[in-house]
Amino acid sequence: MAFTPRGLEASFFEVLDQHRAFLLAALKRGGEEPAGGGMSLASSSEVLSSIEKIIQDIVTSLARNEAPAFTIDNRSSWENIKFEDSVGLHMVSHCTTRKIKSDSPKSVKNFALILKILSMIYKLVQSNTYATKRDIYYTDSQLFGNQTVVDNIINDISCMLKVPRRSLHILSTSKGLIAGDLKYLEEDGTKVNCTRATAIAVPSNIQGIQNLITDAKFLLIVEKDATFQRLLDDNFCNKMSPCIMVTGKGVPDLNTRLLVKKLWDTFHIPAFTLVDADPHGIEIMCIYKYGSMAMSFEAHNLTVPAIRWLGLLPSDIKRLNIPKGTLIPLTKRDQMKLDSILKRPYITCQPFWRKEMEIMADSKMKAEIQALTFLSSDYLSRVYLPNKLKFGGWI
Amino acid sequence: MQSVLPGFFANLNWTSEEAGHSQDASGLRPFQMIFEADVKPRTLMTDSLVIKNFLRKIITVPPKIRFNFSVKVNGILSVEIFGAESEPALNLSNGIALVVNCQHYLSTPKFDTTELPCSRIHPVLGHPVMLFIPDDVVGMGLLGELTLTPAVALCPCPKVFSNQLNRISSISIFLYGPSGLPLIFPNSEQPTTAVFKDASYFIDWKKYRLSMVPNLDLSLDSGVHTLLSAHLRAILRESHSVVQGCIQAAVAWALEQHRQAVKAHQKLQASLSVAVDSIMSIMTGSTNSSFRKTCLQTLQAADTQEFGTKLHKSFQEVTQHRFLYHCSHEVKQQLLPERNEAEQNTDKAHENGSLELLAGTGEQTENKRLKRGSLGVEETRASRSAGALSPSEAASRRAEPTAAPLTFSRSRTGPGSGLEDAGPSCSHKAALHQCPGGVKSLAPLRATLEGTYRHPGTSLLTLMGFRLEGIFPAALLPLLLTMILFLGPLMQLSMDCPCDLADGLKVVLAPRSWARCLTDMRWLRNQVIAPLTEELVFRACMLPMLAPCTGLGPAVFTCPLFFGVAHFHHIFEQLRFRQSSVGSIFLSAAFQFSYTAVFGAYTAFLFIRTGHLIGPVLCHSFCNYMGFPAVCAALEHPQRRPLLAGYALGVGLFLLLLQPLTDPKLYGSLPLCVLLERAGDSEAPLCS
Repeated sequence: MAFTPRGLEASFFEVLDQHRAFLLAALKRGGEEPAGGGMSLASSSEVLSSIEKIIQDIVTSLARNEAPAFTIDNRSSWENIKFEDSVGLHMVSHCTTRKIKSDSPKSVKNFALILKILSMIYKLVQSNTYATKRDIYYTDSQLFGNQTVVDNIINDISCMLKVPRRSLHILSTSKGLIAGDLKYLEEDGTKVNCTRATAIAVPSNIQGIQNLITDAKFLLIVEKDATFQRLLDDNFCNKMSPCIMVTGKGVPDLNTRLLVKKLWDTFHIPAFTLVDADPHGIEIMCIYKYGSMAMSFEAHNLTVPAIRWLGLLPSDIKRLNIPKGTLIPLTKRDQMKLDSILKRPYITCQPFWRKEMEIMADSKMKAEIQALTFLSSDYLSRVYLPNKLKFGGWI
Repeated sequence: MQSVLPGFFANLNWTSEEAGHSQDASGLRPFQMIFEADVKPRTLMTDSLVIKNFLRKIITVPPKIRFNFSVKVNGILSVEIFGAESEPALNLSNGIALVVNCQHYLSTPKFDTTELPCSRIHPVLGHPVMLFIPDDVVGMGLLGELTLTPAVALCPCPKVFSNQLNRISSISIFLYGPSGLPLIFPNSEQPTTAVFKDASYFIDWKKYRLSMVPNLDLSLDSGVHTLLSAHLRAILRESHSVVQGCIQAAVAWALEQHRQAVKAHQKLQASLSVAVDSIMSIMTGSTNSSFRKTCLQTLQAADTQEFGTKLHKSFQEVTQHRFLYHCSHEVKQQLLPERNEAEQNTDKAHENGSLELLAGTGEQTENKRLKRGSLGVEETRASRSAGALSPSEAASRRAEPTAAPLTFSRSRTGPGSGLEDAGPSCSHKAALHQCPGGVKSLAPLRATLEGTYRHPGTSLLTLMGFRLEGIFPAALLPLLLTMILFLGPLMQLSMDCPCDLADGLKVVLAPRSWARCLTDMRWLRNQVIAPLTEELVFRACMLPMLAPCTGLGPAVFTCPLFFGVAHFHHIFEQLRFRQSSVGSIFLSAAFQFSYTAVFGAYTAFLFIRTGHLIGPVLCHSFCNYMGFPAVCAALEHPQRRPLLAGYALGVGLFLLLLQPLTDPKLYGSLPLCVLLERAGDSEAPLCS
C-alpha cells in the first residue's frame, strides 16, 4: 500500500466518541470509584506484621496443644462470589472458608508449603527485593513439585493476607503484549514507546508505570497472539490510529489485566475485545470484563466492566454468510462450558450476550476469527473491524 | 488336661471340681478345677507359666471365657484374672471372635511413651483355603474338610510405631483349632511343620525394606500338643503351596499397611520439618523484637534454639495424635447385650466341644480329670439341646458341615453331638510381634483353674436409660417441666426479641436455619454433643453404678458433685491465660460448681424418675440454650412487674408439678428401681 492514510476522517470516530461519552456519564452516575473494599497496595511493614501475626497464631495454638491451621477464603465456589455491574465478580465479605490443617494427612504438605513461601515472602519484603513465581519454584523444585502448586499457594497467601500479589514482592513474567499509541515511563525511569512495528511485552510492574500518554480513541483487546500478530502485519494500528492493542495470549495473566485496568482508569477510552466465536473466547472476554472466580478477592484492581464485545459475534457468522465448511461443531466440553457461562450471574445483565450465546448453542457451531480469511485474506483489518468500529457493532 | 500341659502332672492331684453352671439370671456359669501338687517350686513355676501362657492364648480368641487363675504357695495366694470380657473384638468369618487389644499379645509392653494412642492390633484376614487331607492321614481317622484362615497382625498398631521404620523384632505364629482354642505345637525339639520353619516362606523382607533382627522365634510356642497338630504337619505339607500362598498374601497385606503408615509418617515428618524451618527462619530473621519475644514466651522457651526444638516437639505431638485418631476406629466393636441367649448357648457348647477335643486328644494318658472335665461339657450340652429348636444361627455359625471328625477312642458323648463339635475348620493366625514377650513368674503350690462364663446382661442398655417404653412422655414432660421453671426467662426472651411470633416461628421452622445450626460447630457442641455425652457419662453410666452403693436418694446428690467438679477445668484455662484475677476466677468457678451441681441433681432426679436418658438430654440442651437466668437484667427491665411475676410463677408451678409430672407410672417400669428391689433394697421413695 503506497500511501496509508495516517488517521481517518473525524466522522469515523463519531460513534466511538458517543460511546465514550456514554461510558463517562455512567461512571459519573455510579459515583466516583466503586466504593472501596479493593486492596490497596499495602506497605512493607504491614505485610511483615501480618506475616508475624500468622506465625504468632500458629505458635499460640501449638502452645495450647491445638493443631494450627490456616483459614483461607474459599475461592472455588460461586456462593462466595457476588456480582456487581460496576465491579464485576468480587468476593462477598462474609464468605465460606476452608481450612488447611496441619494434622490431616492430605493438607499437611500444603500447610508446610504455605509456611515455606510465607518465610520467603518475609525475606523478600524485608530486603525489598523482588522474585518471580518461577524463581520461587526453582528454589526447591523438588519440594514444590510443579509451578501450579506455587501459583496457587501465592494466590492463597495473597487472599489470606488481603494484600495484592505485588505487595508480597512476587512478580510474574508477563506473557501479554502491547502495541499502538502509548508512551509511558517505567518505575526505574525507562521510557517506553509502543508506537513501533513490533509489539512490546506488558511490563511486570504495572503499579510502577507512570506518565502514560496516548491519543488513542479505543483499546482493542485481542484474544490470541496469532490474530494480534496478523493485525500488526496488516498495519492495523496505523490504519485505525490512534488506538492501542493488547493481547493476553489466551487466558490473560495478572499483569495484562492490571494493564487493561490501568489504561481504563487513566484514559477512560472505550475498550473492545476481539475473541473467537466459541465458549472459550467468551470466557476469556468475561475474565477481562468481570474477572475470574479464582482472583475475585482482588477484583477491584482487575476488572473493567466497560469492556464491550466487538467480535467475532456468532450472529456475524450468519450475517456474513461464512460457509458452513469453515465452522467447527461444538464439542461436548464446549457445550458444557457454554451452559456454565449462561448460568453465571453477569449474563442476566447482558441480554445481547445471552442472545449471541443462544445463537451459538442453537447452531451448535463455533468459529475462529480466522474464519474471516475465507472471505478475503485481510478482511478482518480492512473491512470487518473498521465497519464494526464505525457503526458501533459492539454489544 | 494333661495333653495340653506336658510333663506337668507328675505329682498333681485333681482334688475337686465344681460345676455350677445352672442358668441363673446372672448368666455366669462358673466351673472350678482345683489341682493339688506337691512338687519343687521351680517346676511349679515353669508349669504355671505354661498354664498362664495357654490361658493367655485362649482368651485372645474366645473372648467370653474368663479365667481366675489363683496359685497358693505355702499359704500365700496370688491371683491373676485372664479374661477379655467386653473388649473390642474382630469377628473372623467362621464366627470366632478375635480380641484385638494388643496387651494380650505383648506381656510386657516396652514403649517409650507411657500411653499408647492406639492399643489395638489390626488383624488382616486372608482368604480361607481348603486343605487337602492326604490319604495316609485319612487312614488314621481324620476325615472331613479342613479350612485354613490366616489372620495376620502387626502388634502394636503399625501406626503407633511408624517412626520405627524397618524393624520387626520377633515373629510368633499361633495356630488355632476349629473353635478358636490354640493348637500349640509340641516341644521345640520335635520338628514342626516344614511350612513354618522359615518365615521367609511368606515374607519378602526386601520389598518392605525391613531387616530382621536375629531373635526370630519360630518355635511356634513351647508347650502342649494335640492330636490335630500331629496330623497337621502332614496335611500342611501336602497343601504346602496353597498354604504358603494364602499366608503370603495375608502377610503382604498386613505389611503393606505398615508400609503405607510409614510412608504417611515420612511425608508428615518432611512437611513438619519444612514448616518448622520456615517458622524459624521468619522468627530469627525478624527485626521486630516484640514479635520475637512473644513467640518465645508463648512456648516458654529461653532462646531460639530451645524454641525450635519445642516447636518441633509440639508439632509432632499435635499431629501424631490426630494421625492416629482414626486408626482406633478400624475394628468393629462387638456390643455385649446384642446377642441372644440361643446363640450364647451354642457358643458355649462350641467352646466346650473344643475343650473336649483338646482333652480327647490326650487319649493315651488315662485320666479321671479328663472325665470330670468332660462331665461339665456334657451338661452344658444338655442345656443347649433343650434350646436346640431355636438356633438356626447355630448351624450357620458353624459354616462348614462336618464329615466324620477325629475319632476318639473314648465315646462319652453321643455320636451326634460328637459330629457337631469337632467342626473341622482350622483357623490359623499368624501374629507378628514387634516386641518380644516375657512372662511374670510366680511360685505356685496349688493351682486353681476357674473358668467363668459371663452371661451378658440384657438389661444394661435399659439400665442406662435407652429403652422404648414410655419414650414420648419421657421426652416431652421433663422438657415441659423445665420450660415451666424457665417461664420468667422465656418471657424475657420473647419480650426482648425484635420479631413477632409469626416471624419467629417462620425462622424456627425454616430448614435453612436448621441447616445453619447443624453446620455451626458451637451450636452442635452446646446443643447436641455436650448434653448427650455429659448425660451419658454422669447420668446413664454413673447413676446405675452409684445407686446400688448409696441408694437412690444420696445418689441423686452425689452424682452431680462429679458433674460439678468436671467443670473445674475452666479454671486452668483461665489461670493459664490470666483472663482475670485469681480470686474472681475461683469465685466464678465456685458459682459454676454450685449451679451445675444443682442442675446435675435435677437431671439425675429426672433420670431416676423417668428411667429414660432422653428427658435429661433434652432438658440439658434446653438449659444450655437458655443459660443461667439473667436475673439482674430482669430487675432492670422496663416491664419488670410482669416479668418478675413470671419468674415467681415459673418457680412456683415447677415446685408444684415436679412430683406429678415425673411420676414413674407415666414411664413404665423403671429398670434401676427393679434392680435395687431385686437387691433387696426396698427403700426407694423415688421409685413411686
